[in-house]
Amino acid sequence: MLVLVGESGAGKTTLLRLIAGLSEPDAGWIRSRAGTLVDADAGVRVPPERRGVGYVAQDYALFPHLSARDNVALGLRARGLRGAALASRADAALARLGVEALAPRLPRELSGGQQQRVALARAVAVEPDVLLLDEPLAALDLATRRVVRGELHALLAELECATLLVTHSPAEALAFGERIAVLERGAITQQGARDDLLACPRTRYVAEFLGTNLFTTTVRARDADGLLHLDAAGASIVAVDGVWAVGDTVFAVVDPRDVTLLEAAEPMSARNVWRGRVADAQPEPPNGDRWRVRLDTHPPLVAEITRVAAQRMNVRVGADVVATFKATGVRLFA
Amino acid sequence: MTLPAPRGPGAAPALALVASGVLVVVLALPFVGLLARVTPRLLVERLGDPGVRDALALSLATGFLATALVVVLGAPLAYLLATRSFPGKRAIEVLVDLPMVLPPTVAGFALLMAFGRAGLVGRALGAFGVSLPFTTAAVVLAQAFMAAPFFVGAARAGFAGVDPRLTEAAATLGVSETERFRRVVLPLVRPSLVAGIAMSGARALGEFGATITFAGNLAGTTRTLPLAVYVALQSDLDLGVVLSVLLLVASLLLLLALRAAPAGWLGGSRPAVARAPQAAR
Repeated sequence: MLVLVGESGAGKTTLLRLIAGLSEPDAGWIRSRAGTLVDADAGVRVPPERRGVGYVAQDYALFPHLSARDNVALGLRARGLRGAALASRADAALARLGVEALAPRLPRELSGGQQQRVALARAVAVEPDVLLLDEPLAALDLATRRVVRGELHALLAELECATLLVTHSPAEALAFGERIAVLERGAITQQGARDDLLACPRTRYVAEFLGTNLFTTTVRARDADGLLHLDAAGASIVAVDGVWAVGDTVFAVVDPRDVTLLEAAEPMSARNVWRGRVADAQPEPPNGDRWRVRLDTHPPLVAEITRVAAQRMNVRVGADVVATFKATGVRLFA
Repeated sequence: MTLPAPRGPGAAPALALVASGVLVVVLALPFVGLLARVTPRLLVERLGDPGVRDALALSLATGFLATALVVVLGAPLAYLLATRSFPGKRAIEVLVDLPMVLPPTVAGFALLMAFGRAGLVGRALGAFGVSLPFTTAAVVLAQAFMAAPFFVGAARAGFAGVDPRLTEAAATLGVSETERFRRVVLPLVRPSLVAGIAMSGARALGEFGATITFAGNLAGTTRTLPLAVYVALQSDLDLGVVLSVLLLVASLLLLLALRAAPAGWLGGSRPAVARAPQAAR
């Protein structure tokens, strides 16, 4: 599974449409496990219905005149299934997404989250080689999004096909993707494992949106002041957030710009104080006015400070520093 | 300072009421006048008239054929106009709409110039011994010519209204182009097609000017119901009343069918796949 992340207008949907065969490239080629899908120079163009590429559009594009079952059955029918075999395969696909009870309903009688599951069931039922998901959570309200994100993650993990998920949301990309590709103005500017992108963002965009501190944490306690105490693989993080309960697994994001570096601990209001050594200090593109400073804390913590501050503090590899960030600066999501 | 009180029903609404009332009365009066002249006995007595029966049979047959012709030839054109762009498309769109605004007698005259004995095509047809004017075929042609814009317009709007993302979704599911048309496009445009068929059918049924100009007024061959009404006006007023009521009822039925048709009738869904049989436990 690969997550493609980029701002709107970067060309994410265009890329998916090219892979699915819904748009034609002016140049270049696309190949899948099944072979060449399109090669503009060689004049090869496999029509979308013979590509084995599933595509779940942002608004799901369910057939409004067909029940959930018939939506799923349409693709299976094209595979030659008929009668009872067709119906039972369609129902099995719905059951896999936990929506078999909705089989007789029309799309307009389904909630956003239910529509999304039916659309996924429809796409997965025909067992594509490649599954394309265009902003699968964008059309959902926030509460539904949280639930569906978890379910989708679990489903995608057990799918046999290659999955390409597109999102404009860096948080979503981090939550979904072990492997992430960043699309900027029509070109992939960086791709790799999530941790690599987090540790060494190579463009300003990646640094700003992905080059953030992401911790996988468990909620340990909520104290008398309402503050959440999180366990983050050895470190403790204090955060303020009302929706989580003890035992929840949540991602905690700390923007490197919210991390302050000091030479020694001094009285302060920040709730999170980490000590460590400078593991790496790099001026950031494009002009080096900001520095990214990585500490060898466990887990590692990245701070972004101005060049002036870095020079005044004499930040260098191996130097002992204290890093602090406020509880209000910790964003949580699942 | 206080705001003025909200104005009650003032002069403007009253004027609107008067204008609306006048129009409703003007629209309703003719029908009232027509129905006031007819008695059940008159209807029963005259419906069996050979003149009435012939005109009715001819109208139904030609109306049906003209509508069928319009649908068979018009649906593909409507689909192309809705989904493709090609050179000359605008010209074709204007051409298709033209009969809708053209005086019917002019349309009939133009048909005569094309298909008449000395017309563009008529001369060639004549060489094969085929002569269209003053035949039942000419009635069908005149009706189809006048009715086509109504069907093509409705069908084109229907096809254009089908979200291309739906056919794209079907394509990515492996559904072939013909199946996409059959199972996605067609069910979605069915209401538009039904509406188009009803409107063009009504137009064909009521066609007068083009028919009398191009096909003439021959009893049994080209004298459709509207023409029979016109003839009756000069000779037999009672017959005219009966024929008019017949046409009025037919038109009203078409209109009511369009409005009251249950969703399923107009292309709503019925399950394409039956529920899966319950597995034995």
